[in-house]
Amino acid sequence: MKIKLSLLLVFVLILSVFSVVSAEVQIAQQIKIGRIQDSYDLDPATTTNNANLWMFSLIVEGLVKGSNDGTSIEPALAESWDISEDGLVYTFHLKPGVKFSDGTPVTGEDWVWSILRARDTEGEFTFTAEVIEDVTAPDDNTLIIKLKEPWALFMADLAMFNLTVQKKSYFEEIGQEAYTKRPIGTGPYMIKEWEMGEYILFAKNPYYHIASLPKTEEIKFIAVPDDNTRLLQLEAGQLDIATDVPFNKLQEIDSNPKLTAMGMPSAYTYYLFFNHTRKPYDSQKVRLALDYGTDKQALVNFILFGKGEVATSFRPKSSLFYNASLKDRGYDVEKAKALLAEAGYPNGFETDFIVRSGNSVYQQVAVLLKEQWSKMGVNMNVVALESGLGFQKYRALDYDVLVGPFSDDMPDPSQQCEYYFIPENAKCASTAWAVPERAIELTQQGKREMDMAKREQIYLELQQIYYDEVPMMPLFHLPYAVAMSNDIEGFAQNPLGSYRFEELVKNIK
Amino acid sequence: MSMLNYLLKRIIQIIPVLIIVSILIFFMIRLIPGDPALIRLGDKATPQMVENLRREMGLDKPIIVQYVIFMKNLLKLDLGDSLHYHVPIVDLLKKRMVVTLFLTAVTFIFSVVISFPLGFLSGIKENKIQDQIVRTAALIALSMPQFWVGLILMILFAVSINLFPVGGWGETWAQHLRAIILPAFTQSLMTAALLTRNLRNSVVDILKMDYVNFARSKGLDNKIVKSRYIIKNAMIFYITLISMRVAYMLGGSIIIETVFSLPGVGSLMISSIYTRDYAVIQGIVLIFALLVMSINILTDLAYTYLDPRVRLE
Repeated sequence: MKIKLSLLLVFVLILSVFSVVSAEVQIAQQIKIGRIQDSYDLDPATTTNNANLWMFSLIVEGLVKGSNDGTSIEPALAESWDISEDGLVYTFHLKPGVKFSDGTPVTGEDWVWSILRARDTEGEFTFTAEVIEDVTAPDDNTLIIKLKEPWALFMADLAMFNLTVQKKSYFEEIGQEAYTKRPIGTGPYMIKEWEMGEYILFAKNPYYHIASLPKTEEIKFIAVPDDNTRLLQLEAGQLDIATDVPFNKLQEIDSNPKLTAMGMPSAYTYYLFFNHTRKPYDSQKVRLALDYGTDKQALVNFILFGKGEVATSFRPKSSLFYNASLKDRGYDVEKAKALLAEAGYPNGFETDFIVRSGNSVYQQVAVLLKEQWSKMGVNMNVVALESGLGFQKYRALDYDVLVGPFSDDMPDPSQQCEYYFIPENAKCASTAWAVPERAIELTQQGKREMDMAKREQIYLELQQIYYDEVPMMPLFHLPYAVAMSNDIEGFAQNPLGSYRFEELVKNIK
Repeated sequence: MSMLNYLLKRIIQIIPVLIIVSILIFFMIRLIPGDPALIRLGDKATPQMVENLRREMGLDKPIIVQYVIFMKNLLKLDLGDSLHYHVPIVDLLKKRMVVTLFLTAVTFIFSVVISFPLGFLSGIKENKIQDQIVRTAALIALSMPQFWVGLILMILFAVSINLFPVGGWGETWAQHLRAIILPAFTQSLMTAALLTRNLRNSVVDILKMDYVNFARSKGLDNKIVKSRYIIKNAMIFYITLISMRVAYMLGGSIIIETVFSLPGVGSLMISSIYTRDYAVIQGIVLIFALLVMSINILTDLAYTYLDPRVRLE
């Protein structure tokens, strides 16, 4: 009897130990994310389009990276760096022992090759490397980059995905075409499978230089173009996370006890683009009048369900050197009418507003603006066009006014300024704006001014000029609308769009 | 004319039709405004970059030259590379053809399984209550838009109760089968409705024929009357309609695959139209034309079995 009792006690003890152990929360082996479109080109040196760019933070790394809030630069593969007095020589001290996802060590030659390739391959982001004169690696842990001239935003350039380290011998072995489908890098994940147009399966990089990360074994990005289907899949548990959630569904999803919906802070802004080769958009007074006659808060309330902010400057609110002194003009129909009369349009005018298909926010903006603008006598016709056709017309300057987005790809104002102020670059975002000389000068200076305080002045002034001239009308800043199961923890996406999934997990009971 | 000769003759006749289709699709899609290179590069592209990409894509050559290159490759059975994905089109299509053909086959089966007994019943019980019910149901099925029906079915049978997955294709063949049920059922409704009406009308007409009464008066078992006389005669129109509907099913796969997120040829077609991927659009249209013509040949062959009066010429 006594022996049996003690055996029983031991048995109970063992059981309780087990139950404590199994009470620990486990995490899922694979997390499924649904998005609107698949990637099609993952070569960091040549690619474009957010569907491709946002994948890079999973697979490749550079010397530095943007912080999670998108406002500053943090070390990545470079632990520290020194900049010479004249601002021309940057010396980086690299983290030792870093390997590619195939297990081979990263060498100085890989760094040199990767950076020069980014500079010498023509692509939309080549501008980040244009200032580089030469790159050398005296040893595998040191990298020296010489610039052609002092460059204020060079650290921000280095955070870009095209200046990440990749494996030279691998590229030479498989060639350019195959490389766009299967690049390798040092990031937390690597591409395991890619069915084009369907899904990309990322698997944990077994050689990642931070041993405890990433936490989840596999992440699968699935393309589900239909909004309804994507959200239904999330509800049914077929997807763990869904991106590109329509704003009118955010509330409904959030009220579902198993799901959470949120707007991630972004650098994403919507603008009205004016074609300055068409009257009356060449008149600053007319554009100013339209600004007064547009109730942007109503747009935020009705279209974004309050999950956004009215835009005053053309720069996003949390960005570097944001000009907070600019005041929102508000909604003043009388003032708008007065300005139109001054400009020579006392009875308003008629205009065509192009809405590209595939984006319900564009349509809603057009509908609301049509009603708002009619109050000041502007008779707007909404012209709905298929997206490819609409885009063609936009680039050919064959439009009056349309609505479109812009988002930064780098944590520095110079990218957008380059695109909006310099006529050679696609005619100032295809508006054909007659940019004041002063603005062009400032844009060129801003890239080179090494004194931070002076640099800030430059960008404050550029924003003031833009605010006064209204070449395009910034409408609102909107967040990335994402919905996910409540079991997901650690979802991070920086305002520039890149996903930070090292800590992403899905808890399962 | 023997079966083999007939077959050969029909197969050779496909060739001029394919050539005409290729000319039509090649030139027509290039008439649509929208530059594939510009769309691929996006709004931050400089004019120089767009020019370079157009050259890479071979779009800077005169259109006739592009057509000749396309036809030359076609003779080597090379559909070329996708302009958007930069992979050989046959690679893109390999898996997707399986999905779409499987969807079409299961849709076909559902259409027949639903329409055959219902159409027959409806015809036999002409104007009685069973006929009224079936005809009303067919009308309702015909009037509902596919994308709406698909969505409702997903909400009912995939989200509320987890009987089927919410779209997607799955990873194993067991999952594929489960995944194809709702889309195939959705797509089959219209065809089933049309086939039901068609069969019902054929049966009604045949029942009035003197040979049916004669067969019954001879004392033949009702089962034999049904199978030998009624069904076989009704089949000719039924099969004609089915073969026409298969062409619709292939085209309709575009909608169904988008709603149910199936990685088939239809969803590839839609995305290729948005990206102006001329090469993929041409390839898919030619393959579909080939499929539809093959089905026509099979249908014609089936006629000879069903109606001995039909000769192969």
